Amino acid sequence: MAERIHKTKTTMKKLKDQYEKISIKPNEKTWEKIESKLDKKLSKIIPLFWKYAAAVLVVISLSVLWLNDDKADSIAEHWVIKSESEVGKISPKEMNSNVVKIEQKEKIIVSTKHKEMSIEQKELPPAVLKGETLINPVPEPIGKIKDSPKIAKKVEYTTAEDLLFGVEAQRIQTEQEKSKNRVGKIDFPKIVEPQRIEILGIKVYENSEE
Amino acid sequence: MKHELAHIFTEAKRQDRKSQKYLYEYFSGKMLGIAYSYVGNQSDAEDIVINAFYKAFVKIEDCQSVEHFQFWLRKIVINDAISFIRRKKNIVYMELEDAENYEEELEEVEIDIEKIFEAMPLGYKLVFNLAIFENKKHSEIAEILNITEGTSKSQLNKAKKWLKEYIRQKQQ
Repeated sequence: MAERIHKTKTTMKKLKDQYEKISIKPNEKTWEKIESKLDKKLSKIIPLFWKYAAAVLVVISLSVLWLNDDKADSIAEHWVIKSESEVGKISPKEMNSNVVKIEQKEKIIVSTKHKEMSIEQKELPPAVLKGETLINPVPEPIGKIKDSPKIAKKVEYTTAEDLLFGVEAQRIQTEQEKSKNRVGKIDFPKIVEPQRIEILGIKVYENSEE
Repeated sequence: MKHELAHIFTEAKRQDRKSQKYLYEYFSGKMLGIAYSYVGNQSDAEDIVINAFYKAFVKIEDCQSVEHFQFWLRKIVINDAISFIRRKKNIVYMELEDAENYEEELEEVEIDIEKIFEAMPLGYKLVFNLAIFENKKHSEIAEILNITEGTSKSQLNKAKKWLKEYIRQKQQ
């Protein structure tokens, strides 16, 4: 009986060994069929990839537009140009926020969270001040403030470039301190006042006199 | 060779077609033999191998290393072969009254294993292959083939009896 079992196991082992050695040469076209299936799969994946890429691009574009919009709003919220009549109404809370005040008497107060800077016109040649402010396209109506205080009141929003205004004012003050003893005047050519200014689709200025 | 194969496997993972072809050439003979042992004809076995390699290359990321690749691929081939048989053929599992282990002596003769797979009834062949060549337990076979453990045992015993008879006939 034991000998029989042994013989059976030996035969099974032989069979197993033979099984593990089996190798049948496949048809030559077998690989071509696999390759063609893989190519089809790849060609399906690529258009799908482009679809996803296009969708991602649209999402990114919308996000960028939304962020820019938000940024403009945020700037408008934090930086307000106020006329002289409104300056008196500024609360201490506002004084701590980023507020740029343009007084009609051409006194500029730049107030930030950290410091307040005041530029009196009598200390600065008016043309220079005007010239510097004219560099900035948005506060251009400032030139009109003298003649038409109503317009100045209407200007509520400004752009990020207005932020540079404070920097410019600081630079002017520094230059002024350096050249206290020097007297000079530069006349800039009159710049045509724009009818309307729109930034990122937001109307920031419109000449109501027209 | 192992190192080279590992490199080829890495490249195949990056869907490099040449490396995929190399892996195919390296393993296709063996895989075709295994598929043949289940379906018993080359045409169907080739269809199974085509699908198995395609699946393997598409899902190659699931395979950890080149050492595992052969066993992983073999598993795909066997599963596909069983699915193919279930889809295309009716399998009749004949219950044996006595499901005890068949221990009758098998003659030690030269066997053409491919001929055996051509001739062995399908129901026996599935259980026989899984039990003898894949070392599966009856509980595992029962789960794979969706049969009872008793049926698995009886099919194996019948397969062994059939093999003995087949060898005897060949000797005559």
